Amino acid sequence: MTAAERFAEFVAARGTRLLRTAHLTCGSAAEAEDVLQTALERAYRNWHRLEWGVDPEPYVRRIIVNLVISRARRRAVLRLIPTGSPPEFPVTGTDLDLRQTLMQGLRALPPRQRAVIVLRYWEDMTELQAAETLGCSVGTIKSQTSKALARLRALLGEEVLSNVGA
Amino acid sequence: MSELERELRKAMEEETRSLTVPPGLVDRILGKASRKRYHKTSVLLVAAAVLITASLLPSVAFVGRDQAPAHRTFAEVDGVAVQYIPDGLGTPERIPAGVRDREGKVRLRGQELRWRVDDRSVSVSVYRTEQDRPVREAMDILALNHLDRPIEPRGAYDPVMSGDRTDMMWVEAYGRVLRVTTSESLKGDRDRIAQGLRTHAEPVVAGVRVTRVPGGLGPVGALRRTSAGLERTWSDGRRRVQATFVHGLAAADSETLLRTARLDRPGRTDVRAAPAYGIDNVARDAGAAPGGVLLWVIRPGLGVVLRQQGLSQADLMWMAEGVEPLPHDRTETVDGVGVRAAIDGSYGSTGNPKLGRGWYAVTRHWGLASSSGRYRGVTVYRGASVGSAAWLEELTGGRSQKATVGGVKGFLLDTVRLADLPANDLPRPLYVRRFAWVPETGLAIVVNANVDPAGSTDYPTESLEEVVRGVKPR
Repeated sequence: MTAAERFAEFVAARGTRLLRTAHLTCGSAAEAEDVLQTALERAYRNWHRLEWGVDPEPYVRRIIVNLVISRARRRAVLRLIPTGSPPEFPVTGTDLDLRQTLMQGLRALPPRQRAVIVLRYWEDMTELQAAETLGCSVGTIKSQTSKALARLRALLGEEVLSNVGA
Repeated sequence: MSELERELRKAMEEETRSLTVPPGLVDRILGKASRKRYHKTSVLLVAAAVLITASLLPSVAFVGRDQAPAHRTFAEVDGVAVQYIPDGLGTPERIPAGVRDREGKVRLRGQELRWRVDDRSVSVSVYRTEQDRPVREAMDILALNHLDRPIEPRGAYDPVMSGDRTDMMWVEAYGRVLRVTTSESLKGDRDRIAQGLRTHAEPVVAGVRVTRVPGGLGPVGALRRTSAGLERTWSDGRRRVQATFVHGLAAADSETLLRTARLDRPGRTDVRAAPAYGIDNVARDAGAAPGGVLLWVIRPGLGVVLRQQGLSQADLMWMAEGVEPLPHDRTETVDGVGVRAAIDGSYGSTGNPKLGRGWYAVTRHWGLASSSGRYRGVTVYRGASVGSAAWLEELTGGRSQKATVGGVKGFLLDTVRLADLPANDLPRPLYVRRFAWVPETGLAIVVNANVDPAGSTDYPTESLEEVVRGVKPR
């Protein structure tokens, strides 16, 4: 089996899962596809180094998460440039069901906190695994998780909180 | 788990349930990768064409290499020469440097040279990475979270830059990270300073350059001949890598090399797109710590077997990718050996390597050996059997004698043979002189010079001496 065939096999087996992680981390389906493609291109360039008895999925996931954080930082710089159009009004919670409200709250988190939440509650990673993926300490993961959940509660507002009984 | 966490998990599952990998994704990625390779090849071919064209133009149109301005080295830090610094910055201060990660753990240690006058400052740092968590590529630098608002690079070995573009770090080699930091006023000089950093070139070992060695390992002993090939070892006492360079017929292709190495059920992989075989967790000798093996053929007649103990297979693969073959077609080298033996300004031709038992040979020649015209040839032999009595016997038929030519001690062989001449010419003898010497383990150089006493004013001894004096093994 050639490297290309092994790569295709990997994408067939794990691609969807990785796409979902990308989507939750960046908050947009279109951008998620772009992030996944970029991450897989990078991984394929180093494929011969990865495949030897090592599961490539954590490596690709790490690229995805770091890509999303890096892109979000760049966009944060761009947002500082004032534009002539007025800001969009936030959609009120009363128009949406609970799932949409939660996802909106997730998208409103800073990129690093969002990544922590996705790794901990979507990928089911332990604090140590999440710390290794993001290249930070377990303490940072704990504090980011706590801040993110607190922020989610605050963003969701009293109405949603009463529904989910947090 | 709180209710919020449970609901969050459920919401994420629902949100992504309909998502699947877009069709054609793999094809797009593979297509892009092959286009990139094609583009790289095209650029290299164009560059090669430009160089060849340039080399064919009259030399008077160019400034010779000897006339090029010499690079000035302003300072040196941990084997890295600094060859450009903006004017007026004076003498640098040399200080220990370190980079900590978010946990406060020191990940990079090294030295920094710092130039500072008023608000103008430049720092050049050379770091060695810690062995337990080596910094291998740009992603690892990003993961340190050390640079302010870092800009993600395109390639794994491209520099990571701070958002204000005054600070730049990149992985220069395994275990070595370079950094250039400037004041805001000098950031326009940043790239020029970085491009002026020169690391000492790796020496040629057995016909290749080993450009990457896992961090902390140092060479143990010299290159030595074994029955398998030429062997070199790097170790730190606890971990070890041994490289065996196999020359000649035993490395004609990867399958032959695999049979020679006798690996049990190896896995198949690639090194620099060449087929390779490897095996992990194998004890080489009874009682020895388990390690791994990786072998591949760089080109027919030149194979490498890497064995590691105490390292990972990823480390071995990383090192393998840094084993670089020497170009055959450089105008002034033959398989890494410098040669100045031109006849009438011609650069000569390099033939295909010849393979023997434990050796390969590459020849650059000027003129035709069988004609009555002038002929000179320089052959570089590499391999474990090179220099042995059997090899010399095979080369000279046992008729050589010890001699010193051009100040070099070696073996001289004189022969006479008939030149290929047009049918109506009388046959006449060619006087052929051959001189061979072994400048280092596993390397021999053989020089040939033909002279036609009837049709040439050349003196064979002088001709041979001229060629020998023009050969620079290193």
